[in-house]
Amino acid sequence: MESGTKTFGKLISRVLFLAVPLAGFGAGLGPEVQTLLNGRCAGCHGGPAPSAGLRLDRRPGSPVVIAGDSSASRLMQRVTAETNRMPPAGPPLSVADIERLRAWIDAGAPWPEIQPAAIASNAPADPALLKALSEPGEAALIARRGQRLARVPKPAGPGDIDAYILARSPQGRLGTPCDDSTFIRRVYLDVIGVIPTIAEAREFASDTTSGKRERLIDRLLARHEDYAANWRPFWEDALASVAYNSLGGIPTNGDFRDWISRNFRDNRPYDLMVAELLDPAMPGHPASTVKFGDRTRVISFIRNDSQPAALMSAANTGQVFLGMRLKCASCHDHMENAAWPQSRFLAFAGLFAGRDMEQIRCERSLQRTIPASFPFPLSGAPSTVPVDARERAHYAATLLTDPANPRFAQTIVNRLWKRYLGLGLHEPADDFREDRQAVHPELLEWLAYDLMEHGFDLKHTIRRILNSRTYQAAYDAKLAGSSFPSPQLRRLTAEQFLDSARVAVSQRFDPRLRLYQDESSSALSRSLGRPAMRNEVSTARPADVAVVQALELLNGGDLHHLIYSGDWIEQTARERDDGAKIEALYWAVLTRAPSADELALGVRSLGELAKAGATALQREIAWMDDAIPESARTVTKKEFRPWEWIEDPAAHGKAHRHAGDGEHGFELADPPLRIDPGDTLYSEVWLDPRKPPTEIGLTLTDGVRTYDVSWNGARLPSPGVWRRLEATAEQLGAAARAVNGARFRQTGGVAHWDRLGVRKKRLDPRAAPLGDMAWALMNSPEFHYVQ
Amino acid sequence: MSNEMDRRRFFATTLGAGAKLAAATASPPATADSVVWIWLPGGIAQTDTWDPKSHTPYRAGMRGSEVLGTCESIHTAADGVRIGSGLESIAEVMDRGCILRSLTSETKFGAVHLKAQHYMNTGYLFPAGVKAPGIGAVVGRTLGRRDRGIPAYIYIGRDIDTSDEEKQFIGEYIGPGFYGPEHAPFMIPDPGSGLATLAAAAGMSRERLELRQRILLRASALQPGVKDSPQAALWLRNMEEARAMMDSPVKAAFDYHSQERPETLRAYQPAIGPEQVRDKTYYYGHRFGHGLLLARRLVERGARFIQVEYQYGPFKGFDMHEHGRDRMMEMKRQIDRPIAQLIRDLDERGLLRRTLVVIATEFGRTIASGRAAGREADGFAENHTGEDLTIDTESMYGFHGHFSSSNAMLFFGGGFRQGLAYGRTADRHPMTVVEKPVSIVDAHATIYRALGIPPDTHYVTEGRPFHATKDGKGVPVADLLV
Repeated sequence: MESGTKTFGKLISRVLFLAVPLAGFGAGLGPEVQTLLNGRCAGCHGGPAPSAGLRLDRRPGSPVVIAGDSSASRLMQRVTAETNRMPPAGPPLSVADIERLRAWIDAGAPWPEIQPAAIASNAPADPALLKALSEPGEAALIARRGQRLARVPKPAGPGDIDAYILARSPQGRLGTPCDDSTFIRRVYLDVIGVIPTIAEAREFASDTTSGKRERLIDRLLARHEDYAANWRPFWEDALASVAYNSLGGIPTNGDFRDWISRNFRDNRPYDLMVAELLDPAMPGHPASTVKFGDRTRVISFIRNDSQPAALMSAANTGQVFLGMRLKCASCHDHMENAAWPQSRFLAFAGLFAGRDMEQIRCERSLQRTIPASFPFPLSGAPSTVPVDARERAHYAATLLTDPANPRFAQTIVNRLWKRYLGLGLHEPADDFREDRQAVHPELLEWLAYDLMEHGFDLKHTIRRILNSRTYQAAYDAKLAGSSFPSPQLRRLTAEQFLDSARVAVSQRFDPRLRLYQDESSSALSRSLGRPAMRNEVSTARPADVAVVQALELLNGGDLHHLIYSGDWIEQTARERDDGAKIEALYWAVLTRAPSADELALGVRSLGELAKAGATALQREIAWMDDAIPESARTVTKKEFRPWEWIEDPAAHGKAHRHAGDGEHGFELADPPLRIDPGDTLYSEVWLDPRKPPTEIGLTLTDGVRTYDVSWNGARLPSPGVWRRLEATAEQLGAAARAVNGARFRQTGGVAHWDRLGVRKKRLDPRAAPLGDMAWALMNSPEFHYVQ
Repeated sequence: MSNEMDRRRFFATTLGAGAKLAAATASPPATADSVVWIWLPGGIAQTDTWDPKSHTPYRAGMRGSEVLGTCESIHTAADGVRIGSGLESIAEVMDRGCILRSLTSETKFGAVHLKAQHYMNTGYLFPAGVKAPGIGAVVGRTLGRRDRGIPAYIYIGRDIDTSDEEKQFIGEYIGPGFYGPEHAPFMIPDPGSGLATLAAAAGMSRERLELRQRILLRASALQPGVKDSPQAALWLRNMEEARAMMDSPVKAAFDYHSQERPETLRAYQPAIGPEQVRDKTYYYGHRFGHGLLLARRLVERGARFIQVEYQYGPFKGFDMHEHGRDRMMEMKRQIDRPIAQLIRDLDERGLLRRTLVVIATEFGRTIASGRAAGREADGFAENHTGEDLTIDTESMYGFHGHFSSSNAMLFFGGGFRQGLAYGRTADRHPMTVVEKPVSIVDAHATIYRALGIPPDTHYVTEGRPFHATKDGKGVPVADLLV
């Protein structure tokens, strides 16, 4: 304990030494206290959802800290309390730290303030940068990258992740390495977003050759499509990607789905990818236009059709690519970040708006225009900003992605670190501040440089992180919320959870079934944290669940069906003895063997559950019967025919009649019809014996894709009697899709149709006990979090 | 047994704490404990409902400016307060309500319903930069639960499984916004079928469910590493709370078919059914009416904030761009009896004193500016008088233009004054507010005032405070309150 405190003391003095010079603070304790609060408290009391609404990543107010009165301050009471002491995890604060806090509060709780950074630079412009500015395109940017990086000093230091971590580890060591099964689950989820199958996990476990972890990392990173699929939801959230250019008349940022997939599948250099997103002069720039009344608007990540849209676009760019939260500086000076007066933000926004911004403070114009300028000092940058809007956007994108702007690379490596270890090197990851230290500033600086040196190859940095001992350390609950050497628990995203659940119960990975491709929103996907709509930029999903969401996991039909209808669950339930079932289930769900206690609990539970009994269950969902679904609309395109409903006693009500070639159908049904793997689509049909058609068919659609099935020749049902036609989800290729339209096709003849729906896969009562066990394991914290 | 004990102890500790906090922040004493927010999106023609002018019957070739009202106005139980015909039941309870006729928005929304709905539901213009919480989430988070077994924010009458992008958008702004899942509404799409997840999935017996839950807790307690994490503790607590919800008063509230008298059930039925409306594919009257009955039962059991919606659909329901007279009458006859019955029931039970019932829509309506209504450029319809429009078919007769400049909102009980119409709009087009204008932010502040929530109540996100009313500056309208 004693030595631990000493190390920590040493650490603090080193932080002080390394800290950026800070102007204008009085008592010298502020930065130390900041470091202490950031390291031990801000993990929970910070970030997008600070615990108890209390933030300790900035100067806390009364009653938490009452300046000049430490004994009345809640902070002191909580860190010294006998019960419910803070921090809740890890060792209590040392006596020295507590005294430091006390002295700080009694000295009036000074908080370092910083001066706004110099905005313009007087140095002569760098020819390499000028060239990139005058020649839009990828080649110029690539050439610029190397030349400009050569002017950036290479960070001193060990050049190895673990060495940086070790140097600042309060424990004076790295974390304990995790075992193979923890590693394989972690790395599968982190790289491709699904858990491994039993076979994959066992194969890895039985491999005794050295370097197997490194090889696995390489193998997974080489699965380009799956890797891109795992990234897509993050970037859809971050870019506020919406499949439509307009929502009820509101312009959106547009649809980036394919653009994201392509960039990550090809592992596009990150600087080029971002330049392309921001710069209309780049050939692959994702944008489209849409008409609103008489006006044509450009739909893109940067929108400048109105003052609010331009401010929002600039703020979003700052947040996502420069780790700066600037929204509140769009109306007035930043309330908590003195480095960002409103004018600095407006100068930044002017780069993207294509015009200098008028200063409007809290809805009142100050009759002043702020000239656009890049907000960070950038050596060699020309200080004159182009007037032309397109040139200006090119200027902005080029400077933003310039290697001499360290914030750009630091923001993304920090996001990578947070993605794989649960906490950023700098927190909050969207709010870099000059007045707040990263926990590992040298590591952050080096990782950023290293990324640039390797051509902004994200996989390079990811490979470095995943191969580090720090990433491969075991989770340690005692270190929860504190920084390293232990990774944090990370909640699976909705996509990771559902895709993994499918793998667990079927022991098959089918990329076509992955959730990210489903544009509909369900109670289940929202419960798991997937937003219904990406109408605001967001870089974090909810870290927790509440009762409404938990109810969906407890009783929701979608998850229930997914688990209990799993092929592998049924097969295992039939074939093995109870001990073997539990053994296999732990491998399937949690990617590890059960302990002796877990095995005993599992076997006992299977016995109890078998006694509780279950019945065979088969459900049919009739989508259409005697009328098209309530909210649906008839397809009225000109090649389509109207619905012709006739009374047909043999159909138990109405039937829709079709004579001759063509199709009729409905679209836009809501809620959509969900089709799970194993489901069977059915519809009933009667063919006129006097004039039978030569072919009939059904097409389902989700508005974008279509799924067809046809019957002709010998496969046609016999005429003159009502027959049920069936097609499995797999035959249609519509498994794990939600469809909202159907069309009935026909060649010649006369047919009557009725009733369209799906028959859910029958739930086998013999599989119920193992299904219950699978449900329990899949809803345990170990499954919902990456450990 | 011990499970049950744990559950009780859990509720006593965690939920009790929320209540204490609320008491500490409620500086002016509250006059209401519960809210039923009746949300009628689409944009209601105030001229045919809560703010009638003269009745100007249809005449082929009449000027748009001549259309001042498509129905007669009727007396109400409140002296001197008249409302549009078709609302006879509500007229009978108007002595318990208060009409705000001078609600106005400085932002003109033109054709865009969703932005106006976002504004009315959150008090913030879209985009707000962060996901803004709906008013129910603000109330739920600030005041917490009234009854420990009933979620603080319940939302009735909106589909949740959807591939419709507008519905997805709406799902966000009625939600918790940046507050996070803990403050999400408890969504009940259809009161008739209850909330499916309050009952075990098909085929699960109660016995198996209990057993499975026990296995979840036991297996979780054995999980190496994770079991000691703060996340695991919270996770399991929520799973336990969800399980407890299955036995809660919320669930009992759904059993209205067997527990309410047939005449009560009938009283919450709309006067017209789906077969009697023009567009037979769009009818939520029964769902809406029973939603109000369910809301009453939930208020009786201790709910805090319940929003009941007549589900919005573009060009459907109250969003009328043709046949305005006839469709308005259809909609009025769908909402009239259930709303009046809710007021009566709450009053008879002595609950109206501390329950605030609000009726709101996103904007009012005016005469259309052209034949193809609903495509006005931003702000266009706000100033015109209809002088240039010739009404040459009956389908054009009605209030088909969006009008952000004036709107009406109703309040019943909960400390609002009763039997009153507040504010005045012009009697001729454009029918803008001419007396005592009230902004939407101030209307929200007034509702918050009744609940004892200061308008500058805020929660921090992205390093800045986000207030219950914009910048914390909403000012309650004292004249609306007792």
